[in-house]
Amino acid sequence: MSDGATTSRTAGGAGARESFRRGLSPRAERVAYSLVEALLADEDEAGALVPAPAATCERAVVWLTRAAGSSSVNVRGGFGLLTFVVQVLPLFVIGAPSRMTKLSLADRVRFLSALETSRIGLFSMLFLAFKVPLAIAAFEEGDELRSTGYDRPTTASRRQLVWLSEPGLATHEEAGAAEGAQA
Amino acid sequence: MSGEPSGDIAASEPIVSGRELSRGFDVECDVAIVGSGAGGAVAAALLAESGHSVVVLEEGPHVQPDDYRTFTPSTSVRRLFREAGLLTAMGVGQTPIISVALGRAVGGSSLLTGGVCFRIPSEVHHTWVRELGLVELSERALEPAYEEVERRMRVREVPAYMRSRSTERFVTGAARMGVEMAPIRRNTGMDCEGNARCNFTCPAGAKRSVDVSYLPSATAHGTRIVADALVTRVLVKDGRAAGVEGHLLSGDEARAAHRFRVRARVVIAACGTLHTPLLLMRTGLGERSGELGNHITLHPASRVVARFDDVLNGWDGALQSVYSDHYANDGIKLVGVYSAPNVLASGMPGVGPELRRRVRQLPYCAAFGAMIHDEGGGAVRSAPGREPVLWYEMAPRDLVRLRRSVTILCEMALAAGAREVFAPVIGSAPITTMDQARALEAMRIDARRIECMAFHPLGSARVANDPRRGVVDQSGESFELPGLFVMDGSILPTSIGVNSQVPIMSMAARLAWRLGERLAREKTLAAARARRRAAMRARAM
Repeated sequence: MSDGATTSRTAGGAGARESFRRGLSPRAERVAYSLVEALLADEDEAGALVPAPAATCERAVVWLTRAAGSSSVNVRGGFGLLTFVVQVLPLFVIGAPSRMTKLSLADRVRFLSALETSRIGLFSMLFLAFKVPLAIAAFEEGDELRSTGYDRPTTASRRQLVWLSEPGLATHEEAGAAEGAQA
Repeated sequence: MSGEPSGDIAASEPIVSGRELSRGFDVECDVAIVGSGAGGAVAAALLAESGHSVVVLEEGPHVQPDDYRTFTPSTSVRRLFREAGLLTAMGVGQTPIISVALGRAVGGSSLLTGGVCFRIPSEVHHTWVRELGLVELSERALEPAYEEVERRMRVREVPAYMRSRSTERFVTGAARMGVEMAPIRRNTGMDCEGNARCNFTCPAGAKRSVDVSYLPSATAHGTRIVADALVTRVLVKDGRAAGVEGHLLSGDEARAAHRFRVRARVVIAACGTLHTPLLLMRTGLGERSGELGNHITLHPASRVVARFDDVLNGWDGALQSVYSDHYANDGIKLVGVYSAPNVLASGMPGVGPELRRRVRQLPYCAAFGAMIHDEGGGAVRSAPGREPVLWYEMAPRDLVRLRRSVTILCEMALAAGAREVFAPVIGSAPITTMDQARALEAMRIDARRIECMAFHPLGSARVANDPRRGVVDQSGESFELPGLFVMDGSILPTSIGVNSQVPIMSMAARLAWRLGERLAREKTLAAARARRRAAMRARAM
């Protein structure tokens, strides 16, 4: 990740290049990266825990920092505060005297699970504040999108309707019947 | 900031991106409209069609339909949603986390709706007329406006064959519980392909958002639309609204912002429930009633995801196709819903391998939602920067309703044969039996663990027939500043319990028709006065 305040990448979807401001500090980006590594960790064939792929983490963090960058000072400040809080919470949530980014992958997964299942609503809010935006970006492309079972090439692709590909089926009613038969 | 604004808008296109302008401008027109969403676009089109000169100022960017149709959900969220989709109501007390989805672009939130079109329920109209004395907002008075809006937006019932298998599963469960479902009406004509991601724009271009249903007519009748234009204040002259001023958003904080001024006979604030109060407050209004920015209703909504044994691929079908008012007396509306796969994945419970396993089961999952007809405990206040802070304190009655709705959705899923149901209570175990579903409703839980969304903030500048009780009168005109009108969701006097796009557009249509007639009368009178003066001068010479 770049440390620059402003950078330029290819925008998703429209294909146009656009400049954007990074809304998270480099420190906050490292915290977000560490979170998404654990949030989307998986098991390998031997059942060992492996972190989310680097490209996935990068995609999620870049999206979050871009989103924060195009938001108001309230949102940017809010995420700055939340990344600080999530760093110091492991001691209070799982009793680990360490910053979140210094925890092992297994402990980070344990920490996030504890946040999610906590009876304290503020911990749930903190968990959700990171999970939703990071996961939306992470599951949008590549192996992560394929893992959802989604059967279109991209999340911007149109549904392949029978009536579009078969000229004989001219109406939605016929299409509906054909779709039903396929199902 | 750059110096005093002057000159015309330095571009010839009807819709201009402010960030591409090399200087500010100072122009004059009949009507200056702040905001191009459901209210502003309708007002612009109807006033321009009746011969008035209109300038629309939109804070968000202008994205062409051909471009936004190709956006992935995350790109839509970042480029078209206010606060890049990260806007949340600050909960007070036992209030769930409520994520608020609003648009910020030419076309406003209408770009991001599920396309659902309801009229304001008859009983709500009756309440307005009988209890609040708002006789001009009766169902009968709004009927021509409803018809006009629905015609332009090509509102149609979603046919049964466009239902997804996800929705069908909940319809089956509902039937087994004796709950009847009805088809939803949407603004997609007969062009919906069932891409199930309307909230992030329609890849087929089927949805008739206001940027394609109203603004083209507005621009064809001479309206100028300036995007990236942040209005900061309403100009006041001789005790009347006389225009607006603000600055263009360059996207580059280091660059001096170009200022603009639009002088107008009337000003229409249509910035939405969260931003219209800010504009009015910055103009020094809101003191008289003390109501400005208060009483916001949100229609808090939740949804459940249920896993079945067979593949459903719920993304094939209309995003929203059925609803039920079976629990209307409890303030609950059941509404079919789905989402893009990555958005659904982000809402699945678990961390690490557990989350991964659940995401792999998405093809087997169905989703359904519910919306609460809330009392309204929201308030909006200014904050550092250009965005407001939204506070919301959920009424105890509404929290009960919300929890009841979650249990009903779980029961529907289980009745349809779901193996497990993921309730929107963060960290709760999946529901697998009816007893567990009922126990969830009674369980002691911190309300902040309940995940909610809100799409319809309403009511921060309410209409009333008494300046002590509201901000605008029944013609939408400010009690405190003549010549300033409000035409957006902020004027709705109570929660309406249904999706707000058609209600806002219809209210705006009625108010714009009346304003258009008034402006025409004033123009005729002014012309007659000018003719008389000219004749008197001629006689005197």
